[in-house]
Amino acid sequence: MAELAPDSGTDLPGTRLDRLCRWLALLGGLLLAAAALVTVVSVLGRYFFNDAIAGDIEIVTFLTAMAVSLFLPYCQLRRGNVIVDVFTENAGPRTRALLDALGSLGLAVAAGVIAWRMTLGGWSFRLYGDETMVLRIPSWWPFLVVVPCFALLCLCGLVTLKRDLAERSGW
Amino acid sequence: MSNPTIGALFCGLMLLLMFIRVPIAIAMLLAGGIGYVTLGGWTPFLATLKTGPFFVLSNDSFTVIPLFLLMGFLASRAGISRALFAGANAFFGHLRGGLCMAAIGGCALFGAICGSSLATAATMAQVALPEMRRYGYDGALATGTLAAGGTLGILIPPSIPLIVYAILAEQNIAKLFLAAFLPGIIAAVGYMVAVAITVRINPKAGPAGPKSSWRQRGRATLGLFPALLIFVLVLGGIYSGVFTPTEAAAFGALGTAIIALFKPGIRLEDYLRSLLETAAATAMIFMILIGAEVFNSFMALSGLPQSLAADIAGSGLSPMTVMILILLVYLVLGCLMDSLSMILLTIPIFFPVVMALDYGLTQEQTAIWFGIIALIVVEVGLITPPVGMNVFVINKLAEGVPMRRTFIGVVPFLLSDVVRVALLLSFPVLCYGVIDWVGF
Repeated sequence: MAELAPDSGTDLPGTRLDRLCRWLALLGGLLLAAAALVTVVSVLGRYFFNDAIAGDIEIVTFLTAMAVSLFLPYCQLRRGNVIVDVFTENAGPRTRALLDALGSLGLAVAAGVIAWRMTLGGWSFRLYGDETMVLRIPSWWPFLVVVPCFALLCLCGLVTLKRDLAERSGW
Repeated sequence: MSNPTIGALFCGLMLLLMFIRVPIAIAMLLAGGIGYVTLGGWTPFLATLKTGPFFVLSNDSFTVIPLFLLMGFLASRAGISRALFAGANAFFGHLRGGLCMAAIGGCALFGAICGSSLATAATMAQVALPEMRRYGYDGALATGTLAAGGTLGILIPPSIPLIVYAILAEQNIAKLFLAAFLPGIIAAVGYMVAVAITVRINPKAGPAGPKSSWRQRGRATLGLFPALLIFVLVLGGIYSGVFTPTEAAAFGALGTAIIALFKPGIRLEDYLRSLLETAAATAMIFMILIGAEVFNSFMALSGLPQSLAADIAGSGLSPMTVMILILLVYLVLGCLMDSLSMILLTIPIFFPVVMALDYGLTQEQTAIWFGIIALIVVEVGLITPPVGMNVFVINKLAEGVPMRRTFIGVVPFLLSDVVRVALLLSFPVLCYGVIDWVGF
């Protein structure tokens, strides 16, 4: 399944981009923890003071959406996306690197297209003044974090593409 | 070309991309995207991308996934797995193969606070493998036990694939969790029986350890307390109706973080590491969720699932034959793919097929029964060659044991799985009975 072995820790090459993505992932982790905290406070309020945080679900889902998108570039740089490698186990390292480059390119294209479309999506939310039901948070606010994260994911895809190709030609 | 044919064609393209190392999520996105454009044109496809991925990220039902992951990773760092293993070992250690039984017991208990199979296998291996080595356990048995034991992590609730199944099949998560309990316990017992039979055939594989005194047992049982606390908080909260699953996961994650404070020698770095582990695991899952969203909307557009369901309904095969055929497909796919991708890709196709057949159960019972059995068969894929993720992880942790030995070590547990699936197929009440009994 979609799961991961415990972190080995020292897995990123350590360029400035790697460090940035690690920091962003930690920031996302803090947002996630904040989402957990909001939920806990709201439930406690509901049971003990008969007064939940109004619109807690809106805050939590927006925080989670931002947290998850902050995780994405980090995952790509540490090659955390699952691949099937049964059929290519016996291929030479150069062939494998070339195929991995194809995967990185695919990811960069997909992330780029999504970033482009979501820019428009967020823009139209803004234009039509779309907002959440309870707290009336403008729906385009989280896009300010989510869209740049997908753009960064696209960049990370290009960087891993370059790393794959470098491995192939043995630079 | 008819739409369903195009659907099948792009399914093939997706598999092809996967098999040449394109990440599964990207294979789904590309094949689904190009397929969608072929059927519906550019404009509607580009329009769905404006908000589609964002709604996956901000879906209220999915919030529970990163929270449960965080809870599991924090629990590993908090040393809870060690206490669970020690607790089980105090009771089983003096038996032949006792350390393996203890590891299975530990996995089952850890599964009750962790929704992920690899995390369960890996965290238990870190505490159990050194002990097994010290007592001269056979490498195949030791690694096979942990790889198989890890699958208890996703069967015993909370379970991330089960959450995803619940969302796809529009079923109640809490009921599915409840339904998974008895099959989970049957699984743990079945695995222990598999160990007992293995060491009976080959006593050298797992020599008995010293017997613990009742005082030691009492102390070891006390060590189970933190895990029990989290378990009661999370699942007790859900079933008493105090929490929604998301709220329970938030409490569980926070509670585990607090319990971790009491572990001697815990450092800030441990917390940051578990955040990063959560980040990587969550990102991987959400990439697959986004990919599956695109691919499944293409599938719906092609009408392939409906036409397949109609074909099967008109084929005159008995419902049980259809079920067994579906399970065989899962077994084959499970050798190649990870379980979440499998659930995401196949449930939209197989679920309508199963629901259209008459198994003598209500609609809800059928949905729950199928979900649990599908989950078990999917999880079997984690320990079958060539792609057995659990086997890979455990094998990496156990230096000096060849991969082949680990796959051999898994065989008794696979047999136990076969028996269990046959049991659940014959007696669906084992899945939904608990729900009726509790009256939830």
